[in-house]
Amino acid sequence: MVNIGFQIVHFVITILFFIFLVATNAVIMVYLERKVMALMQDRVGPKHYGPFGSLQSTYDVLKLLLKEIVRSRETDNAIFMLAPMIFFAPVLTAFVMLPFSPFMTTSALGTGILLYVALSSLDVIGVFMAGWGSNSKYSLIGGLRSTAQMISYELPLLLSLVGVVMLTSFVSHNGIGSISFTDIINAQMHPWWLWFVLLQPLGLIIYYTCGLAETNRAPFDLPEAESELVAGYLTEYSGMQWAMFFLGEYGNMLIVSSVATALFLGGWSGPGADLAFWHAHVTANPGGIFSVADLIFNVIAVFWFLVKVYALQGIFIWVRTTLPRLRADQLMQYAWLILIPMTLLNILVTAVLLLAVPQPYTLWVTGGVNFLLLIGYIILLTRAIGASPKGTLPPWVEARKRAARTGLGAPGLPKPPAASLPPGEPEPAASR
Amino acid sequence: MAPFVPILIMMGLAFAFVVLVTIVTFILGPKKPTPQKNAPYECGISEITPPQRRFPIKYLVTGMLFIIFDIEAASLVPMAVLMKRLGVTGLIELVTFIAILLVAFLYVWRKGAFTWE
Repeated sequence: MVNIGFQIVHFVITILFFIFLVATNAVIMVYLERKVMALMQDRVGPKHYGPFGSLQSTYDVLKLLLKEIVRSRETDNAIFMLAPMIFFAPVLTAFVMLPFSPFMTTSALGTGILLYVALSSLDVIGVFMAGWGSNSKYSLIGGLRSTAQMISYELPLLLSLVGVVMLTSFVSHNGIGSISFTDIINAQMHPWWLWFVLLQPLGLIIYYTCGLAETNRAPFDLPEAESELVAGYLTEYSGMQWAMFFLGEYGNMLIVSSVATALFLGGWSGPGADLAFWHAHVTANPGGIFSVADLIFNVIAVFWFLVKVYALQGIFIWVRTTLPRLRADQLMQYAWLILIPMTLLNILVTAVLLLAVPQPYTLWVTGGVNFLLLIGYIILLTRAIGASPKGTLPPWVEARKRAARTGLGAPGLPKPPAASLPPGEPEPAASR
Repeated sequence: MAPFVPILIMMGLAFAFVVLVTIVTFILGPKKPTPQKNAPYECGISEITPPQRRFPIKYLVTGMLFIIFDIEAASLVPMAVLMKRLGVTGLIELVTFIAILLVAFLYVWRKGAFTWE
């Protein structure tokens, strides 16, 4: 039944919900981030305004609204003013295809994943415009670095989602998968706990890593590395224009978490989110298209979706306090030499297993092998970045060993005087 | 409602939101420009060299590689949607496709496109 009035009301409600969500999410996340980081680092954090300092970020927004917009006299005005819009527009637009519940979705778009990837590529243009239009050295370098980083991590991001798309094809009854978010969530409902994270844990981990890099969060926050680049492409921005970039960044975090929830964590599935159950037990229908059972179901569905989204956003904060920042060359090599081959391997292994293993065991074997791949990926990662404290020597010991082995100094450095000594001998006394 | 209309509406709302906020902050905020305040940021000293300078060709190479690999990655998606229907034929096509991708990948790797500094 097509009811144009109901559709318009539905559309307005969902759009207002998404705008409200983006705006409040930034305020809530800024507060939570400061408070949780403070607790993790044994500090107090914001405490003066409101209970436990919870009004701090609201006051910050009001303060930013009253600040002067400073523009450097050398900026390229048109580009400088447009950049926050170009950065923010794709973030808000990406909510169009995200279903928070069967009702809380704006458009039943068939091309969800591709639209999401396209929109997250558009963000890069905003960042580059900000870096270029500021006409300042730090902005330019920050913008370039950020652009290179965001486009490099775009590829493994898309490739890690291909495994999920493949699974929808195998779970569906007629063999045709889908890249629409609603369909992918429905594909994870058949037992309601059949979340694709159980079948594609490696996909989730790689997607989340790329999401961290896409949103320029620690440990991939090189463009905003204060110690070397002041504030990267944000250097020349001030007041509310600067806040627009931050709103976009926190909106991006929300989108990354929502997409991960929809594709890997079963979307709105959870205890109580069962439409048939509510239709059987609640029959009150006050004469509208939208019955009470629908209302209860949708509230529970949105609740579960938001619980999962905020759990994932909590991991953003946790990662930020835990991991140190990467180096620029490590960052690029990590994307190109580890993540892309790993995602391609994941696609091949998933395809072979899904086609080769006979029916009742297909999903079990695929999930098991993917967990093994995940363990392999973690081992590869620890070896690649040398993060394991066991067996790692201080750099000067490594350099001396290498020098003794090859007869050369460390690359790029002058030959150290101690290089001719055999390893293990004590340092010569530094007296003269 | 047509599925693509909400995209346009949402994008328009986002632009309007940013424009509105910028106008409000222009009205509310103080406007006291001074020559020092309006100088490009340079750690407190005045600028010595102009900011536009040559940047490493690496960024251009990364951009070109992105375009190539992104198109290839996007063309994996339709294959994945129909993977069960395509069956073993599809698997062979997938392996061939990724093999061709890997040849290009190894070539740029050996050429040193992924070594920074």
